[in-house]
Amino acid sequence: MSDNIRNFCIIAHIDHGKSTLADRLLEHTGVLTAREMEEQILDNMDLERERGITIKARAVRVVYNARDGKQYILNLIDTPGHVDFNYEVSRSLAACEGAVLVVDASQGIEAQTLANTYLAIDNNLELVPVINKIDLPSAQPQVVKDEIENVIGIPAQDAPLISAKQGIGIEDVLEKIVNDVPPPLGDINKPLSALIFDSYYDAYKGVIIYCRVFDGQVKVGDTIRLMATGKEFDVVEVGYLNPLGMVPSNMLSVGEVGYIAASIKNVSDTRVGDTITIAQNPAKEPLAGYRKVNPMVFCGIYPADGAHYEDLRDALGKLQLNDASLSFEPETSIALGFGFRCGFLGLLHMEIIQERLEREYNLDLVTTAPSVIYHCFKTNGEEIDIDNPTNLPPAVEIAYMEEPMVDANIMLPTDYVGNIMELCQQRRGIYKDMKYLDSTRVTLHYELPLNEIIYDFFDALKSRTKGYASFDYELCGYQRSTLVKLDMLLNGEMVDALSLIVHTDKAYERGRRIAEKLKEAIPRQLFEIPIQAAVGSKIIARETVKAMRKDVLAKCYGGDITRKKKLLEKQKEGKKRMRQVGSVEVPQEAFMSVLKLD
Amino acid sequence: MIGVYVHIPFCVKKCNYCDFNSFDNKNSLKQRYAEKIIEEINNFEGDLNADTVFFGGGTPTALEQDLLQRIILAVNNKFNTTDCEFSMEANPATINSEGLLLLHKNGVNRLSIGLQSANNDELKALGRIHCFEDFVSTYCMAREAGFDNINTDIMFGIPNQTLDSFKRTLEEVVKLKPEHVSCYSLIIEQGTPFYNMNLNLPDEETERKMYYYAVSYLQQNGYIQYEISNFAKKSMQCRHNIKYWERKNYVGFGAGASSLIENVRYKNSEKLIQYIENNMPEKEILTMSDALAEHIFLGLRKTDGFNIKETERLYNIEFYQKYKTVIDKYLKLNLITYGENMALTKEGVSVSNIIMSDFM
Repeated sequence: MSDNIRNFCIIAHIDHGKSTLADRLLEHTGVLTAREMEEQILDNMDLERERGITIKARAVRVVYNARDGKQYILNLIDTPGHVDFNYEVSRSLAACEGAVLVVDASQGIEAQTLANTYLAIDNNLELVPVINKIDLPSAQPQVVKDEIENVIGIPAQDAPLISAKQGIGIEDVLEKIVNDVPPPLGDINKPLSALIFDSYYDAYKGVIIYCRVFDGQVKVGDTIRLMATGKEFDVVEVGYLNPLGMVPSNMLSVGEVGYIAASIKNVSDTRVGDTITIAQNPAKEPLAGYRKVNPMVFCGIYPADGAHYEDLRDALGKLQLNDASLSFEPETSIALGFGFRCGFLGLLHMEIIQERLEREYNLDLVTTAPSVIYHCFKTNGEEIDIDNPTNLPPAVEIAYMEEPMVDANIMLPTDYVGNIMELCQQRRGIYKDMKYLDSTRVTLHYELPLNEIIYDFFDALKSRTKGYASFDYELCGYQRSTLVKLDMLLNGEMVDALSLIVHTDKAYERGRRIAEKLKEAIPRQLFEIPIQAAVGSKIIARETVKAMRKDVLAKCYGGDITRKKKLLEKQKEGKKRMRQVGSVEVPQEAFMSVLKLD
Repeated sequence: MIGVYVHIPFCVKKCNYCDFNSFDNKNSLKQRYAEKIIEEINNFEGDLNADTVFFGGGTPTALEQDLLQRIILAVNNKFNTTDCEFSMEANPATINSEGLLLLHKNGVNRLSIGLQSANNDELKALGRIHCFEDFVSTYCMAREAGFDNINTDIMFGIPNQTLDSFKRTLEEVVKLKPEHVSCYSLIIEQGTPFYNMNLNLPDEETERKMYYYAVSYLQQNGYIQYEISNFAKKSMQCRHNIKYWERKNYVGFGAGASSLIENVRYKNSEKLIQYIENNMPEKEILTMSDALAEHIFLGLRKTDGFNIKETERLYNIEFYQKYKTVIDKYLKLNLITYGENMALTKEGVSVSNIIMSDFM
C-alpha cells in the first residue's frame, strides 16, 4: 500500500550540492551500477550540467531497504533551484509530502534557500534539513544548525551532517526521509485524481505526462479525462521513471508518481497543474492546481539571418512544449525584420532559452533589450499593457504610467552592506528593513522597480560583493512612475529595436551610455554616422562614428595576395553579421552591447 | 611567358615597421640558403621563357656579392631572360660601385631603392640604417653603373612626419628624376616593434592629404599613376608587379615565396630552416570564383581598373547582372566608375577594402 511510499524533493541554493546529493541517493539505493553512474544524472541537458543548475523538474523512483527492515519506494522529484523557476518548483512541491533542505555547512542559508523553503512551507511539506559539505575545512555545522532554527524556525539540531561529494552520511538522509516524511494519504477506492506536474513530447509515444496520483488508480486501457480541457484519451502505457528512463508497469496507484502515455498529440492539451481522472467515473472536483506564473521579462528574439524565421518559430514551439512558462508571439521590427516577442520568468530564464535556441537548434540570434510589462493609462481613459517599447503611445496621449515593483531580499556579508545599499539606491530602490542573520551576515529588504534589475543588477551585485551576495525577488505590484521612451537614432533614423522605456531620471545617463556603447560597437563606415539618444524630439546624447577613410595603401606583392584575400574575406564575413538599418550597417553585437552597461 | 620572383630574406637590420619574411639575425644561414635557392631554381619545371625577374626581400644586396651573383647566374642559366625586365631591390649603403656594376653586367636592368623619407629624423624613427645622403650617393652610383630604370620607395604616415616634411621628400625625389616612384602608407602591423610603441603618427586627415598631395605632385612632374601606390614615367611601369595584378603566371623561389601557375597557387615554407632542409610548398587550387574574386580586387588596384568584356569572357559571366546591387550602390556613392572598365575613383581608393570585399 501507499504506507511505504515517500514522495520528496530536494531544495537548496545553487551550488549547495543538491544534484550531488541526488546522485548519491540514487547510488546508495542501488538503482545505478557504477558503470551507469554519470555525474549529476538528473540533470540531463548539457546546459544544466555546464551551469550546474537544474532547469526542468524530473522524477525518479528508487527502492530503499530501511534499517527497520522494511522496503520503501522513494520518489525523488528534482526541482530547479533558481528564483526564476519558482513556478516549476511549486509544480514539483505539489506532488510531494516532504522536502530535503540542503544547506552548505560553510555558507549557511542563502536567498534561494529561503525562497524555496517558504514555498515548501506554503505547500505543507515536511522539511528535512541536511547540512552538506561538512568535509570542507570552513564547515561550521553548529552555526548553520542554529541559523536554520533562527531564520527558518524548524528544529535542526539532529539534522544529518553529510558530504554528498564524499558519500558521508547518505544513509542518514534516507532514514530521515523514511521516518520524517509522511506517507501519502489518499483513497484507492475513490475515483482517480492525479496531478500533472510536467509533460513533454516524445516523438514515438506522443505526450508523456508526469503525474502524482492522489486518489484511485490508473492502468493501461483506461479512458482518462483531463479536467481542465475536458479532452479524453485512451491510456497506452503507464509506469515510473528510473534514472535511465521509463519503466512500464501495470498501473499507477494512490500515492505513486509516474508517467502516462495516451497517444496525445498536443502538449497544450496536457496543462501542467491539471487533474487527470477516469472518464467513466470522474472525480467530483479537480485538485487544487498551483498558481500560474506569468512571464515578467520580455524581449524580442530575431533570427540573425531572416531566412531562418521559420526555424526559430519551430524551435520556440518545441521549447514551449516542455516549458509552459515561455511565451512568444510574432512581431516585426523595422531594423531586425521578422521575429518574436518572447516572455520569460526572469533574466536567467531568458538567457537559458537564448542559449538553448543557439545550441540545441543552431540558431544565430539577435536579441533586443529586455522589457517588463508597463501599465499605460491614456488620456482618453484607455488602459493598455506595454511589453514592447515600440508600442508605447506618444507622450501627449499618456496620462500616466505604472511600472512593476518587486520585493527583493538580498543576503550578504555585513562588510558589503554599504556598497549594496548604494547600488539599490542607484536602482531607485526603497529601503524596507535589514535583519542580521548572525554577526557577519544580513538580509537587506528592498522594494525595487523590476526594470532596474532586469539588466545587470545580478552581475553588479555579484561584482560588488566578490560573489558573496545572494538575491531573490518576488513581484509585489505596480506603482505609478514617471517613465519615458528612450529612442536611439542612427544617422537620423530611429532604430526601433534599440528603444527602451526608462525612468525620467535615468534617461540621460542611460542614453549617454548606450550611445557610447554603440559607438564602440558600430564599425566606421563610408560616411560619418551620428548616434543620438532622444526622448521625444529632444536629443539628450550624441556620439559620432567617424567616416572610414583610411584603407591602408600598402604594397601588394605576389605573396600578399592570399593574405589580402583572407583580409577581404574576413571583412566580408563581418559584413554578413551586420544588419542594414537604413543606410547604416549595424553588427549584431551592437544590439546586445546595450544590454550590459556596467 | 613567366615572371620570376626570388626572395632574399636577409637584412642588415630589420626596420621597426617591417613584417615581411626577413631577418637580421640569420646571417649564418646565408650560404645554405643561397645553395638551396639555386637548387630550387635548377629543379624548376615549366615555362622557361621569363619576361620579368624580380629580386626582393629583405634586402637582396644584404647578401654577399658572390652568393647574390651565383643566384642571378642560376636564374639566367635556367630561364631565357633576354629582353627581360630584371629588377633588384637594394637599400642605400648596402652596395658599392663594383657591386652595382656587376649586377648591371649580369643582366639586372632595373633597381628599386628603398628611400622611404628624405628626412633623417624620420629615417631614424623607422629604424632605417641609412641617411638621405647615403641614398643620394647609392642612387648616383647606380646611374653611373648604367641603370636607366630606377624606382624609389617612399612612405607617408611616418611617426612625427608632417605634410611639409613629406612634400620635401617628394621634391627631393623628383629632383633626382627616377623613372618610377612607389608611394606607400606606413602600416603598423602586429608583431613589429612599432606595434607596441607609443607613436606620434600623423592623423588620418593629414595622412590622406599626404596621399592626395603625392598623387597630384607626381602627376605634375610627369609620373603617371597606374596603381594605388605606383607611379611611373611613360612606359616605365613595373611589368613584374603588373603581372601580380593581372594574375599572369609567376614562379617564386625562396622562403615563403608564392607562385601562381594556371590558377594554382603554391607557397613555399616560410621558416628559413624549414625551407632549406625540407621545403613543403602549400598548394591551393583556385576555383573559378576564387580566381574571379582575385581578378576583381587586384584589378581594382590599377588606376584603369579592369576590362569588363575581358572579365566576362574569362569567367563566363554577365558582370553587371552578377554584381548589380553592389555596382549601383557604389556608382551612386561615386566610389567607382563603370564603363568599358570598372575602376575606383579617387574617393573609392580610400575605402577600397570595403568595395573589394563586396565583390568577394
